[in-house]
Amino acid sequence: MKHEAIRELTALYALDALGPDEARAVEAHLEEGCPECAEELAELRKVTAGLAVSVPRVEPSPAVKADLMARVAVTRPLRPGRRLVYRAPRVWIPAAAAAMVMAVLGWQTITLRQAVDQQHAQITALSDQLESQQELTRLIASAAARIIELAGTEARPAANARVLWDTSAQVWHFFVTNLAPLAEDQTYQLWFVTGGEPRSAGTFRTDETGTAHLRVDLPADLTGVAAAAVSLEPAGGVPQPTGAIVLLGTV
Amino acid sequence: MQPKTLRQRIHLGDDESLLRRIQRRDETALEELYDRQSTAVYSLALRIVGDRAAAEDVLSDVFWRVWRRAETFDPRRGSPTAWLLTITRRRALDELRMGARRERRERSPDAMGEVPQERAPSPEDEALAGEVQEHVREALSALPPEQRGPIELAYFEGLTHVEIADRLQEPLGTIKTRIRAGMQRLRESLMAYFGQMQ
Repeated sequence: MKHEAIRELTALYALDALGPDEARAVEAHLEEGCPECAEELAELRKVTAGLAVSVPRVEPSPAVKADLMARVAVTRPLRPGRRLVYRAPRVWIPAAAAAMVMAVLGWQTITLRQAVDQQHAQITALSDQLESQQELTRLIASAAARIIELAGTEARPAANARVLWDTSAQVWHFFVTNLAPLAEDQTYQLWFVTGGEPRSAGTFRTDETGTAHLRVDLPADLTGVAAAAVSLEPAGGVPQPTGAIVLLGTV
Repeated sequence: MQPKTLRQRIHLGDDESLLRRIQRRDETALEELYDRQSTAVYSLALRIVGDRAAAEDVLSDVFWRVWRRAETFDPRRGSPTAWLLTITRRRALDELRMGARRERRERSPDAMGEVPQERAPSPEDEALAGEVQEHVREALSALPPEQRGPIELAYFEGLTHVEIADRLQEPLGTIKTRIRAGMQRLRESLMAYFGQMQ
């Protein structure tokens, strides 16, 4: 998009009031380096920060801080001598020490409760994971599944990826392996390649083992998908591919 | 009292070093940052979600994220306060959308809890926070309502310009123009104010 068109959008961008495509266009323009828009945006961001602090000030309940710090304490690595296990106090300790023991016990109750909460969260996460794996298993067995194999180009010869395409729910499950992780200012972007212009299917980063998994709902108006491609782009992604194509596969 | 520079007055440097200590898993730094910023975070969350219990969830979650993900803070992209308040706004808007869904399912009569009381917290920092707050409020209320309304809908309710136009039954072009004009006025007013402080 042209500079003049972007200038019309900066105030809306600072307020986070743009749709995703326009927001990406603003980001792409800034990535290209436009000092004028960057400065304007920096000042507009101060305005939005101002909006945030213009609200009536209300103090939170002290209980929130106590809970937070207890939760933080649970994440501390356990060292010998700092255990969550209760050890019986020796009977002769004086009252002050007993009071302290009671205080510690209170603290331990909080941390134990937090530990239980954490395990609950873990169970929820695991069952979500199980559910999505069951979805994939059902998909693989069904007639609605199609597979697109993507091969690494000369830019990333070791990489390979596969799209498991659920043609009834119109979902892409994209799996990639051996794709080197990127620096902070870059991203990989997946594209639906059709007869016309490619359309973005989203950006992703790979972990230190070079793998990633992306679940993408296909836009309802998308037709004639002929191929899938991954390009290397500046962080935040771009409306149309600009960088090297690193993975490519036809339907 | 010695006159302070703007930077000292709004403690930007301090929050940055606190975040660096949090990255090194320093719990006392988290506690300090909480003491300094929890009122701002909570107040913004409460303004967005409109419910004390939900705002407390947001507050606790924001600082939990700070603890786990302090390394994602990038000083080149803005101040720690701006970063914290951005996280807060996003998290509160999520809560608002989730809450709206919940409420449609089960309408409970006392879900709103008690009415928030406005109370001024600690002395000196608060005086300054109050000053800036007062100025922004004045600048906001000086805007014509047809500019202020859409800006508030975007910021506090998380609506896009298209949704705002839809909500207010106005043409999209009109809404865009009003938001731009309003934001420019706020910007000029704030820059003049900060300029005078320095």
